[in-house]
Amino acid sequence: MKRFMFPVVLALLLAIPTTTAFSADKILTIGVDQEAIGLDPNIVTAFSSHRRVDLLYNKLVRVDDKLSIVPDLALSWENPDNLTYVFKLRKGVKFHNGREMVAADVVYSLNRVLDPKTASPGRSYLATATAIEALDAYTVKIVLSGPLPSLLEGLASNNLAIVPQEVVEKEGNLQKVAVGTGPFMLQEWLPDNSMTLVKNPNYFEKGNPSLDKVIFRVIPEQASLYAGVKSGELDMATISQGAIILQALKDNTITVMRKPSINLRTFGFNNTRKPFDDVRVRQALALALDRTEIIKAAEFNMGQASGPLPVAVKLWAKDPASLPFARPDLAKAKKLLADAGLPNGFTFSIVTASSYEGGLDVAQVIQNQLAKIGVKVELDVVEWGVYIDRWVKRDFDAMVEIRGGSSDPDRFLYRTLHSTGGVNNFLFKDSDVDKLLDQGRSLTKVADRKPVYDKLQVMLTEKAPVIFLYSPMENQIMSKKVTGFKQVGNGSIYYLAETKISN
Amino acid sequence: MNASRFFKNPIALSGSIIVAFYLVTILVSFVWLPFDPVAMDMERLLDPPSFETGHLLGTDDFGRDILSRIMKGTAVSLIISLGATALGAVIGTLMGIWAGFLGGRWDHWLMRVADVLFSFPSLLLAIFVMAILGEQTYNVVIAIGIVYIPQFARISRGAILSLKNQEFVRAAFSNGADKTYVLFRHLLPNILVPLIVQVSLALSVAILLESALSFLGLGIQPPDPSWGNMLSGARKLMMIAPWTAIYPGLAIVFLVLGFNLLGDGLRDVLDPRLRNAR
Repeated sequence: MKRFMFPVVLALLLAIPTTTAFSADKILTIGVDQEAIGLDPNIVTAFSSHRRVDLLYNKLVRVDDKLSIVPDLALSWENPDNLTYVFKLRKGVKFHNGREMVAADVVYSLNRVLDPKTASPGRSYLATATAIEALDAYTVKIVLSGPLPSLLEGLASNNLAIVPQEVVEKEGNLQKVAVGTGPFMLQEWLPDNSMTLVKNPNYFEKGNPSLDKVIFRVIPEQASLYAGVKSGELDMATISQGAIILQALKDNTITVMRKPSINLRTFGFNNTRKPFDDVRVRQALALALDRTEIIKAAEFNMGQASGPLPVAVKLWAKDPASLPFARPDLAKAKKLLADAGLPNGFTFSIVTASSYEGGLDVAQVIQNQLAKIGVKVELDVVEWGVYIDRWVKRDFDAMVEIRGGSSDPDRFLYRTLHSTGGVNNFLFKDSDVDKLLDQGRSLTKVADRKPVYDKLQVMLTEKAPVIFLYSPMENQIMSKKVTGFKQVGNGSIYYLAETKISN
Repeated sequence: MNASRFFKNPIALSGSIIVAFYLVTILVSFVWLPFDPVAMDMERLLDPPSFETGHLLGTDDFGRDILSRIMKGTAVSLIISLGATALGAVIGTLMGIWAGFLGGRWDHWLMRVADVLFSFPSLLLAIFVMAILGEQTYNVVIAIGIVYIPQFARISRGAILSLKNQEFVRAAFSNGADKTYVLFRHLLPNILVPLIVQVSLALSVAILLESALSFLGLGIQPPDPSWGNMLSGARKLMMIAPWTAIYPGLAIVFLVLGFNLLGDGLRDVLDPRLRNAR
């Protein structure tokens, strides 16, 4: 018996390498600077995790490269009134385990997000939802107790992705496994090294994806990411350091894609601490800052000045140049300080960290600019963990941050600046601002909402509880072999589903 | 006598010339710098070295003059290096002498403390201390000083142990000398040579440690320049503006070289066994 087995095994062993060697798999290797922290779309918060979820799962709707809402799992929707939304689902969509995705899955997933036990960061996207029902296998109705104009934008969040109930129940959660409806399926995950995704052959968009495999490789150094793309080891990488983009732009073997992101670099105050409780002091600081210089020195010009709403969201953002304090005016700034009883300036400290997000470079330019009106800044450069801790505890005079924006104005401004807002770390309380934010939330039609948010943008700039500086560019570098990729602006790499690579 | 021997030794001489050059730089930096080392110039971001602009070593990504920053950083680096070495040498040597001279239980416990400190890699220990104390300039001195304590303790203890049973020491005791007298009159002068050599090496390692700490963001805080934080800032600029990294790097290399040459030279000059070798 053994004698017969041997040649069979040998033949099999020989056959395996030959078949793989000759198939022309289209593989795209993407370099990322951080490992994913879990994969459960309803739970994850890390940017790095979201980038994997982009490819593994779908939502009812998604935002396209113009930051507008387009169909995803829902083909169409209507809202007969402010409080009711009805979604018609695509038919024949399959989860990676082969089962069809139906309305019951949407109901399950959204209720999972609403369940406090899930601790989903997406729960507030459904803040006023009272009932989520399946009208039939392909129709879902969401009923609200109060108007929620950002609902569609919320439904487009990865945190509201549709997941299969049976897998969640079997595994407890989806942090280590991935069964979605997305264009790619999880094949292998070697933590801190690589993650391999393979094409979903049943993906509902016919003809997509074109790639057979997407491999994520974790390379923490930005310079190494660039070197990887240059040497051909990587096909693509997301870069945040301006210096490296500058270098890549001069390199004609590399494609550089840039787009203002929906993130905002902010310089915010603890509005309860003296002297920041005085609006004149905050205005004086706002007037002393020169955004052009900050963008030039800290970002190598890879950014665009912005007001309270990210400049990339064209539908809502007012032209930053039209807002108050858009240009520095040192004489006026000094006068405001004098009026506030601080003619000789004052000293305060900025909490910052040396990582990109911590904005040490930005803080150094601010320090330099504020010195011109006699305000002395001490830099409190802390390690990233301490930085987060100080942020959570509101333990700072001022802080340089990067804030994840949103394509919906209610979503971003309410949580950031309403007196009850979840990430109002500036401890800003202002009844006029609260009133406008509440009014904006009660309206659903763009035409009704627009004047409210126009007014708010001016008011927030004038009250200056936090100074919105600029939107950094979202930068992708890729080899010339890669075509068809589009940037969304919120970091999403969903368009890898439409990307092609030539060998 | 020793002074002339010192200056006849080419290694010691070149080392001291290098170190003297840095000391002069510090003195100059107190009264004059080509530019304000913290002033930003948005019109001159990443200017290459040039005579025309006056930025002889170029500018960094904030338009600050690199030569001025290196000069300003020299004082910072040297003061930290001297302070840390002094701290480590005084405490470490006292510990070592005490342990070696008294022996017994004192020896046992003091050396176990030194062993514990020794068991951490020096940079790791310094990071650990910085994390506890917080990021202040004088804490860098303490952090590096603590790293040095066991090194000096070991060296002085070893030297004392080999000396204390020698005949001239026993003779002193039998003539009625007390412990303090013997210690300061007979033992200390005889362990000075290894200590001086260790000091000169410690000075150079302190420069590197300070740079490493600042590079990691734990040392000197911006906008004050130190060679380490200049290098740290230049890391991302290496490919597009190499001068931002090269010159602070060279400043470190030459000072460390200077201290090492000085240490080697001193050993040659002072070591009695090598005295007639040349």
